[in-house]
Parts: sequence; C-alpha cells; structure tokens
Amino acid sequence: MLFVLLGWRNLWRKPGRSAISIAAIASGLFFLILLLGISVGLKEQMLSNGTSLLQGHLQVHHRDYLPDRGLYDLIGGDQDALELEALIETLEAQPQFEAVAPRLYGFSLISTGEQSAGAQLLGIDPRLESRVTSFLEGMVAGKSLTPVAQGQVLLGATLAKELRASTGDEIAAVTQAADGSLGNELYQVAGILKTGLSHLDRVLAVIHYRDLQQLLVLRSWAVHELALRIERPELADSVADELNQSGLLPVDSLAQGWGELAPQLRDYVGLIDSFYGFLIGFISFFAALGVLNTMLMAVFERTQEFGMVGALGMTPLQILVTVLVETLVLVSLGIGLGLLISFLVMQPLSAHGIDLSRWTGGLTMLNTRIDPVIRFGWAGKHLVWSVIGMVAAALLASLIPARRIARMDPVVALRGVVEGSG
Amino acid sequence: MILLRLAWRNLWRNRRRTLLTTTTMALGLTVLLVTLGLGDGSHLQMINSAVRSGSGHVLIQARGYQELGGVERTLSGQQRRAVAGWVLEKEHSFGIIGTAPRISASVLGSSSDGSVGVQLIAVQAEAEARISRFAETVAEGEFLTSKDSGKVLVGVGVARKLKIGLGDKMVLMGQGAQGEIESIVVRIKGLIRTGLVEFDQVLVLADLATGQDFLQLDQRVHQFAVLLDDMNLASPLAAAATRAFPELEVLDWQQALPQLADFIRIDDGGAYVFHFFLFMLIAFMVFNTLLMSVLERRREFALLEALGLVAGQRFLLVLLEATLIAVLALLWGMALGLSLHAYLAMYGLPLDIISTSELSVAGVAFEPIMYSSLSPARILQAMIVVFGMSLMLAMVAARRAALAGDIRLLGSH
Repeated sequence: MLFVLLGWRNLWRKPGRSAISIAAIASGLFFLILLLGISVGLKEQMLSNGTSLLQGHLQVHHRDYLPDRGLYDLIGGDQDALELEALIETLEAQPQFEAVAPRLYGFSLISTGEQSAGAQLLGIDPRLESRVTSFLEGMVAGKSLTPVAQGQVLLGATLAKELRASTGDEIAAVTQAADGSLGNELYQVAGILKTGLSHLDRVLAVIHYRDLQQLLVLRSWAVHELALRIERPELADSVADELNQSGLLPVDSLAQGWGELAPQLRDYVGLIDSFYGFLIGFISFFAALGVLNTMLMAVFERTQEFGMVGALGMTPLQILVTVLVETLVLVSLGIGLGLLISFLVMQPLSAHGIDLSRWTGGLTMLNTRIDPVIRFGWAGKHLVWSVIGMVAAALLASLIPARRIARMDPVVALRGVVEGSG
Repeated sequence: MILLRLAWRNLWRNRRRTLLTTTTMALGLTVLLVTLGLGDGSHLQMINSAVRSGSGHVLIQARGYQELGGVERTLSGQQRRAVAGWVLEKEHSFGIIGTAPRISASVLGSSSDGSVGVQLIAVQAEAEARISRFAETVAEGEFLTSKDSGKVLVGVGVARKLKIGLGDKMVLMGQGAQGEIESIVVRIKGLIRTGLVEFDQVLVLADLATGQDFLQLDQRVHQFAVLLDDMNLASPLAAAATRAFPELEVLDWQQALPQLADFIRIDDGGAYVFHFFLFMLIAFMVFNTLLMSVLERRREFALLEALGLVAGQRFLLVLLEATLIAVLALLWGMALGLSLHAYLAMYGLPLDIISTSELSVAGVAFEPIMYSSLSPARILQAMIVVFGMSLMLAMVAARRAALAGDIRLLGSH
C-alpha cells in the first residue's frame, strides 16, 4: 500500500513530466478516433451514395425476376393475386423498415413524332418513392408538388435531348403488352431528370405505376419490385433473411439486401474498409511508438531517482510496483482525457459532418447526386484495438526500462549513467 | 560556431534521447509518405483504368457530340486526316502513346431469342489494341483484326440476354447517317468482360469498316481518342487541340468522365481531412517528445547559464540541436518511407481478400491491389511539412528551455 501511495506522490512531484505523458496518450487517442471517424464516415457515405439514388437498401422480387427481369415474373404472380396496399402497410408497420416503394418495369419505344428512341419505363408511386430513394430530386426542369402524376412522364436528360423533347411536350410510348397486344399511350413531359448516372439518363422514362400497369395490360396489383429503406443499412443482408423467414411476403418472392443486389458495391465498401484498416493500423503503430518514446524518456530521466530509493532499501520489485501504479494512473488519465475530448469534438462532426465542397470547390455535385458531406462515425472494434495498443506501449515503455534500472547497482544508478545518459 | 559544435556534441552525449526523438519524427515522415503514396496511387489507378476502358486522355470529336450524340455528328474525311496529322506532329512533345478513331451508336441487337438495346463501338482493331483494354478483356474467342469484316465481339451480358455464343449470328438495326433505318447481320467472334456489369450488358465491338458500312458513314468517324504517357499533359494537349481545331469539340478526361472527376474530387476532399488530422497527430507526438527532452534538461540549462550563456544563446543552442535532429530524422524517414513506398509501388497492397466480384467505382473497373505513387512534388511537400513542423515545435520547446535557466535548479534533481 505504501508503494501505491509513493507512486501516486511521484506523479505530482514532477507535474510537467506527468502532464506530457498524459498529453501524449490523450492526443494520440484523440487523433486516432478522428481518423477512424473519417474512415467510417467515408464508408457510410459511399454506401449511402450507392444505395439511396435508385436501389434502396433492400429489394423484394419474384424469385425468378433477377437477373433477366422478365415481364411476367410479378410479385405474387404464382397465386395470380397480391394485396399490394395491405403488403406495403404491413411492411411499413415493422419497426426495421422506414419506407417501402412499389415499382414496375417495362421497355418501350418513345416518340415525339419526328424523333424516337428506346427507353426503360419505370413505374413508380411518386409519393412512396421519394421516401426511399433520391433520384427524383435530380429534376432539372419542371416543378410540381407531385413529381409525376398520372398521364405524365419524366425523361432522363440525355433521352430528352435525343428526342428534342422539353417540359410540356407530348410523347407517345409504344410497347408490347403482357397479353401480346401492342400497347400505346400519350404522356405529357412533366420534367427532365439528371440522375448523375449517364446510362440512366440515356434510357430512363418515369411514369406512374398505375399508368404502366394500363400500358402493359397488367392488373392493378402487378409490381416487379418493392424497394425498402431500412434504419441500419449495414445490416441489410440479415434483415432480408429475417423478412424471407417472417412469412409476411408472398411465397414466391425473395428479399435481398444491397450487398447481394450490388456485389460490386459491397466489395468496394469492403475494399475501402481494408484500405483504411491498413492505414489506421499503420498510424496506430506510429501513435503507440510516439507514446513509447515519450515515456521511455521519462523513465530514463529518473535513473538517479531509482538509484536513490534503491540505496534507501527499496527492492527492485517494490520500485516496479510504484512505477506500475504511476503508469496505470497516467494511462487512465490519458485515455479518459482523450475520450472526453473525442466525445466533445465528435458530437458536431458526427451530427453535421464536414462539408467537403469547401475544399473540393464548387463542383457539379448536385448533378451527380453525390453527397459531399462526411459524417464522422465511431469505429467500435478498431477503437478498442487502438486503446489496447496505447496501454501496451505505455506499460512496455515504463516497466521494461524500470526493471533494468531497478536491478542496477544503486551506486551506479545514482551516478545516472545508463548507456550514455547524462 | 562554438554553439554548433556544442549542439552536435549534445546530440551524441545523450544518444538515447536523440534516437527516440529522431525515431518519432522519422516514423512520422514515413507514415505521411506511405499514406500520401497509397492515396495518390489509388487515384492514378482509377484514372488509368478509366481512360483505358474507353475514354482515352483526350477526345477530339464533332461539336455537340458529348452532350447530344447522334450518328450524323461526325468528323468529315478531311477533318479526320487533319486531326490524325496534327496528333502525329505532337507525338513527341506530348508523349502520345497512341490514337484511335471510333464510331459509336445506340442500336438494336437481335437474335432469334429476342432483342436488346446495345451500344455499338466500331474501332480500328490494331490502333485500339494499343490504347485501350478491350483486347485484354476478351473472355472467350479472340480480339478483332482489321480483316474481320462482319464480325463483332459482344459483352457477356449481351450474349446472356440474347442467348448467343461464339460463331452465332445476330442482327444489328439502327438509324444510319442518312436518316434511314439500316441493318446488318454479324457473327460473334468473341465475348468481352470489361468488369463493368452495366457496360457488358450493352457493349458490341466491331471493326471500323464494318461500322462505317452499316451506318452509311463512308470514311467518317465520330471521335479520336488519344492516350498519353503522362496524364498531367491531358489538359495542355486538349488546350492545344482546341486552338488548332476551333470548329471541333475537344475534351480531356475530366470533361469526358465528369462522374469520375467528381468522385475523385470527393475522395480528395476526404483524403485532405484525413491528412490534416494525421498531420496533427504527428505534430503532437513530435511536440511531446521534444518537450519531454527539454524538460529533462532543465538542470543542464541552469548549468549553462551559470557558465555565462545568456538566454538568446541557450535558445539558439536548442534550436541548432533541433535542426540537426530534424535533418537526421529527415534522412532516416526518407530512407524508410521511400523504401516502403518503393515496395508498395512495385508489389502493391493486396486488398482482394474479401472481393468476389468485379469491382467498379463511378463506372470504372477497379483493381483490388493498391499501388503507391508519389510525385517528386509530393515527396518535397512531405519533407517540408515534417521539417518545418519539427523546427517550429522545437522553437516553442527551446523558448521554454531558454527561460528555464534558474540557478536554483542546479541543486535539484
């Protein structure tokens, strides 16, 4: 107990030295947390940019619909019936689903009279769609409260240019309907979309899904896809599994998470993860070494002091115990201080984020629908390892040299000559 | 002068302290070099991959083609010869690796199993092989030669949708330059897998003559793609081409691939913030080490004061020591950092442990190995940053040392 007290007193005998050691640990931890925070933020930004435009976090289809997107593979198509409104309501009532949007797809030839082009028709419920995805925000011409009412169409920007169509014009869509007949209908151009993905802007034509059902001669329950937004996108795959086993969906349908729907995105997110993992590991190593170096200096500085207490009769073990107590107090204070500052600084950084457009300049950011704000996040697992690294470095730096000095002849130590130390 | 000698001796009088301080600084420089190298390298890789999978560093085409497209927006035979001659002239001064004329058009591809909209790209096979990756992405069959009239390569997604394979026939139908609907029967010579799923679902690659024949273009082409050795010369070359051909549209890769350019700017912004905090971390670590080493020597400074060194001289002495330490750290850090960089530039950092599918970012295929890349300017930047920072922090520490000279400290431990 005496040596614990001695260790405690030693700390305050040289407050400058203690303060520097604490500062080293606290600042190392603080900046590691910030660096980890950016890497988590970048990953989440990537994920949300990749899923929120058009895909959604989760999708439900007839199990045969992907990858060929056949017209007849409707959700509930095997029983030839689906309570669409009831299904959407049931899903939205589940706490894990934030929003659900139905979709219907078709191909058609679109013509203005003089010009014509092939287009991918996307039938949506405009009210529900904007709660799941953001592509409707890319409207560059045409403004109304409901982005696309029945009888209206939104055209991709490149497609509109090819057709030389602008807002207010009338276009005709011609397609082969589900019953084999030739379906055709007139729509009014209500707006031009710039999604930021050039292949979409070239082919996309958005209409109300009720209109598309009529054009394709499908029943009023017919949809190809439900897109869902969930609270925690990183858990999409397991949420999809649960949904598949829950019995809420028609038996012929299948829910899939964004990782399964877009394996490239999943791999890229994984890639970013391991890239930053490597960098952070490397930087943690540096931070731990910085702490090690600072504390090594502090211990060797005390060679004479250890010689003195040794001469007064303290055993090497007792000296070690006092050093251990000192180090533990320093480490706890350093980590506590580091975490405290981190919490204070991370609060605004995770809530509001840093707007990168300040550094990247004006940009066509709005046109590409890339969100330029990084919101910092807490990286649990990596953080624990960084703390462990710091503690290990501090203990290593104090105990090993302290043991060596404690075992020296007190007389030699009193002269303070450990390998050229002055 | 005597101060410099004193400073040099002081360094070796306490070798351990010198070693610990220089280690912290040198490792800081190493971390900075490796992080910058991998960041810059991944960007370079993405750009290279993008220009190689289609766009080239500079595109020369008819005015309005980028935004509006259209089969009829072509370079005439005369313009085509003028551009080809001009590019040949600039070959040495801009390090041009190759140039290739291209036609591209949205057409309908059909087999007996159905039809899909496809993107026909007609290229001069030999020229194309020099500047793009198409030849390397052939998954089945062989790449085109200029004798392959009436043969095409199709993306794997097109083949799957139309249920066609090697040796099968397909029909291409589209609007020709005269406004008439044209069609042609072609045979599949090979399948292409570019790594971009969306692209593989629409790509049909044909020889230039086949495409010109099909679309009634005679000798006309839509664009010239130019590949450079150094991508930094893309904008100067584009500017020169704009001056030489004011009636044409000239794009550098940033203009040709705006999504990629935006993605890289965003990524750059993220890296900027990351490096800022990394730099702060290094600064704090170095400062702590320096402070600790000054604090440790208060008694020594008191002794120096007793021997007659005034505060200014002590300040200068510590500063000289810090300069020497920073120079040592710089040498050590450069040696360590640059050898790590050299290793990562040659063998790369493998990140593909988790990947199972082909990767793409902002429409660009991406390799799962990251290679480090550092320009001399970047290396200089990192050196100046670490050296300048060390000196500045040393100055703060030295001020403390200079003021610390208190004779009473001589008696204390």
